[in-house]
Amino acid sequence: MALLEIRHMTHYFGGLRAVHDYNLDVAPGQVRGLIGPNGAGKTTIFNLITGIHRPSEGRIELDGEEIVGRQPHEIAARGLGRTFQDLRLWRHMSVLDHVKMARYSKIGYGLVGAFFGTPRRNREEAQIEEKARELLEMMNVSHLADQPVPNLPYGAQRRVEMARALATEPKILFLDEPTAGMNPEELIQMMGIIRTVREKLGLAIFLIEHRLKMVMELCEIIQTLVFGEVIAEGPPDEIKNNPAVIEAYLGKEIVE
Amino acid sequence: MVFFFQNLINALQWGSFYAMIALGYSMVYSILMLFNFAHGDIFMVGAYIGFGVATGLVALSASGFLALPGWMILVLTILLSMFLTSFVGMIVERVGYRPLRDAPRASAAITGLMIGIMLETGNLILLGARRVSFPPLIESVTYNVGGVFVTNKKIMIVLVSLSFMLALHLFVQKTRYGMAMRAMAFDYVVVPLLGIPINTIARLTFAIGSALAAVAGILFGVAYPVLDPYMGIVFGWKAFVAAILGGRGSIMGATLAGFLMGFIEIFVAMVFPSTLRDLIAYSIILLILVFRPHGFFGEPYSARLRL
Amino acid sequence: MKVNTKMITEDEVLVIVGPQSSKQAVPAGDVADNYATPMISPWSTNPDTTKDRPYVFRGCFLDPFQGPVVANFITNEFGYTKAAVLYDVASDYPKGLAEFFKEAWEKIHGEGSVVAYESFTTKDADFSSQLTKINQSGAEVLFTPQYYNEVALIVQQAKELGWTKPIVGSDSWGSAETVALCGEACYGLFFSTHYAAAGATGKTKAFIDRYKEKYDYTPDDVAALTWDSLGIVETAVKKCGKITGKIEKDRKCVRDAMAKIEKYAGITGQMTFTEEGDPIKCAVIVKISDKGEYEFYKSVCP
Repeated sequence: MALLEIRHMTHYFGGLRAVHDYNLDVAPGQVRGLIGPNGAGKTTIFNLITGIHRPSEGRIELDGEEIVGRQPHEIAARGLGRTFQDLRLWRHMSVLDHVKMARYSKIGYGLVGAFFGTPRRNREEAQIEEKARELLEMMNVSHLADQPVPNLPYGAQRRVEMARALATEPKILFLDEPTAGMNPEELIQMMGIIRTVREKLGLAIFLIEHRLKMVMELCEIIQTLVFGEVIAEGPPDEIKNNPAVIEAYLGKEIVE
Repeated sequence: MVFFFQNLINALQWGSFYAMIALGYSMVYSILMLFNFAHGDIFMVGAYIGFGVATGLVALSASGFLALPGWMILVLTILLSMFLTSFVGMIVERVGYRPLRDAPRASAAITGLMIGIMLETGNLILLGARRVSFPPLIESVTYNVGGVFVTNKKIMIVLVSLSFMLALHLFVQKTRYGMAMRAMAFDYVVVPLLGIPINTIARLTFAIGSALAAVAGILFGVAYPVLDPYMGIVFGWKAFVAAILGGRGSIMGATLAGFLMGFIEIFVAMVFPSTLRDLIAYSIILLILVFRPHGFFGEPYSARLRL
Repeated sequence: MKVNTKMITEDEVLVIVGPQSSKQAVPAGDVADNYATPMISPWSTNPDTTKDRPYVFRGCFLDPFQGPVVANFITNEFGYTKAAVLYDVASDYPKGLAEFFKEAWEKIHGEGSVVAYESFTTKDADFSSQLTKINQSGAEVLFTPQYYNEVALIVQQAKELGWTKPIVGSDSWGSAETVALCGEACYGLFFSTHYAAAGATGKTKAFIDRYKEKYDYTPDDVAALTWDSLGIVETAVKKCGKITGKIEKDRKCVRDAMAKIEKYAGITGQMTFTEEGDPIKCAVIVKISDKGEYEFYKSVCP
C-alpha cells in the first residue's frame, strides 16, 4: 500500500489552472523527485498536499486516510514533514529552540502545566530537549545548538531546517529545493544527509530539485512537471533520455 | 528631591497600567499582525467584570455566608475576572477576527473599532450611564517616607502588575505555548506545518491579553475607583502608542515603553504647566519614533511572510 | 429649538419656564427673544443665555458669581492667603469657574496668591503629578470646580498624597453621586451652591417636605430653582392683572413685570433681576457632614 496516494488532483487559482490531473504514489521508504521549469507548479503541489491550499478537485490519502480539507497542523501530525525553498527559520530563536518547537505537538502538558511548571512539564521539556539534541547531532549542527540561526552559515541553516522537519517524526518528508543556493561542498554534505536520513530513519522522501545531478543520484522515480501537468514519469535513466523532457525542461542543455 | 521621588512613585503606578494594556496589543499584533483596537474596551469590560465579581463577593462576605478578608476578595476577584474576561477576548477573536484573517488589514482594523463601540454601548445598555464606584477592598494606608507619600495600594499595584508581566515573560520564553507564539510571530506559515494548530494559539493569545487587561482593569479600579463605559478609549489609545513605541510585537518593549510613557506623562507635568502635559509628552514620543521608527525592540525589516 | 418655536408661534404660550441646561437654554433664549416671548431658565449658568436678550431671565446666579463667593468664603472662614486650583481645561464650566476664582482670589490677596494653577483633561483618572505639585506649592486650600466623578478621584488621591488641608468645590459637586463615589474622603468639605436641603428652614423646608411627600426623594437644586422660577412667573402675571388675550401685549406686560420684581423671596434666596435678566441673590455654602449629607453652612451674598 502506498504511504501517500494522490488521484486526479487539480487546482485553480482564480480562473488559472495551476495543477491538472496530478497523480502520485509514494511507497514507504521510497525517494521520489519532482522536476520542472520555474512556474511549473511544483511548490503549489507541495502546498496542496500539506494543506496550505485546498485542491479544487481530487483525492489525497496519507497513510490510508483522506486528508483533503484537513488543517495543515492535522496533516503534519499525521506524519508529513516539510522544508521550504526559501528557508523559513525564525531569526530570533536559537537552533535548539527550532527543533524543540517542532516537537511540541508530540507532548501533552496543558495550560496548567505551562503556567505553574508541573513535574510533567519539566519531564516532557527535558525529553524533547534530549531528542532535539540527537537530531542536531545527526545533522552535524549540535555544536551550534545555542546560537541564534542568523549566525550560522547557509548550509548549516538548511540542516537546521531539516532537523526541525524531522523533529515532527514524519513518515514522509517533503524537501523543497534542499540545495538551493548551496556551494559544491555544502551540496555534497546535504546529499550525504539525505541518504543518512533515509537509511537511519527509513523515511519516504519527496523532493523538488533544480539540480538534476542530485535528483538523478538520489531518486528512484522522477516526475517532470510542465505547466501543471506531468509530462513524464519514470526512473532517472528514462527521464534523462525522454525527448519531451529534454525539450520542455532542459531545452538545449545537455544532461551530464 | 522629595518632589522627584514622589513623582517617581506616581509614575511607577501610572506606567504599570500602560504596560499591562500595551502587552495585550503587542501580543496580538505579534502573532496575527493586526492591532486589536477593541483592546482598550476589553480593559473596560475587565474592570466592570471585576466590579461585578468584587461587589458580589463583598455582598456574599457581608451576608456572613462566607466571611472573607478584603485582600482575599481582591485575589479572588482578580483570578475570577481574568478567567471571565479571557472568554470575552476569545469571543472577540472568534467572532471578529478569525473570519477576517485573510481580509484586507483595514477591515480587521475597523472590526476592532466596531467591537469596541459595541462593548461600550453594550455596557451603557446593561448598566446605564451612571458611573460606578469600585468597592474599596483594601483599606488605604498611607506611609510617609521622609516626605514621600506611598500607599499600600500603590505598592500592591506595582508589585502585582510586575509579577504578572514577569509571569508572562516566562510563559512566552519557557513553555510550548509561548514558544509557538514566538514562532508564529516570525513566520505564520511554518507553524501549522509542524503540527501546531494556529487557531488555538491565536485564541490563547487573545485570552492571555484579555486576562491581563482584566488585571489592569481591577487594579485601575483599586487606584481610581470610578468606572465609566468610556474609560478604555483614550487609555487604550495611549497604551497602543506604548505598544508601537516598544516595537510592534515585542513583550519586553511594550513593558518598558508602558513604564516610559507613565514616566514621561508624570514628569512632563512636574516640570511644565499641566495644561501642556499631553502636548509635550507626545511630542517627546513622536521624537523618539523619528529616531527609532521601529520602536525599541522592533524588527527593522519586514521579514515576515503571510499565507 | 424647534419645540420652542412651535410653542411660541403655534401654541401661543404666554411665558416659558426652561430649559434647564445651558446647552439648550442658550439657543432657546435666542428664539424666545426674537419672538418677544418672556422666558426664564431656572438652572442655566452660562452668561450668554440672557446676554442682550431683554426677554430672557434666569433663576440662578451665574458662573462668574461663584468665583468671588468661594474666594470670599475661604478668606473669611479660614483666613488663608495661598490657594491652589485644579480644573479640567477641556470643559467649559470648570475652566470658566477656575478663571473667575483665580481673578477674585488674586484681587483679595494680590498677584501670585494662587500658588498652583493646575489642569487636566476630561477622562483623566490620575492626578498625582498635579496634586504633588500642589502639595509642594505651599497652598493652604484647594479649589476644584469639578463634576462628581472627578471630585471623588481628586479628593481621594489628594489624601493619599498627604494633603490634609481643605478642598472646596462649586455647585457641580451638588449631585448625590459625589458622596456615593467619594465616600468618607469627602466628609467635612465645603462647596458653594444654590440651595441646601439639609438644615433648611421656613419656606424652603416646607417646599422640601411637600416635594418629598409627593416624589419620595429630596429635591435637588434644579427642582428648587424651577419652583422659584415658576413663582416669579406667577408674581409677574398677577402684577399684570388682566390677561387681555392679545398675546403680544400680554407677553410684553409679563416681561416688564418680571424685570421690575424686587426682592422676590424664593426658597433659594431673595432675588432681584439685573438689566440682563440675571438675579442678584445669595449663594449657599454647603458642608458635607460626617454622615455624608449636604448641610447648609452659611449664606454668602455678593
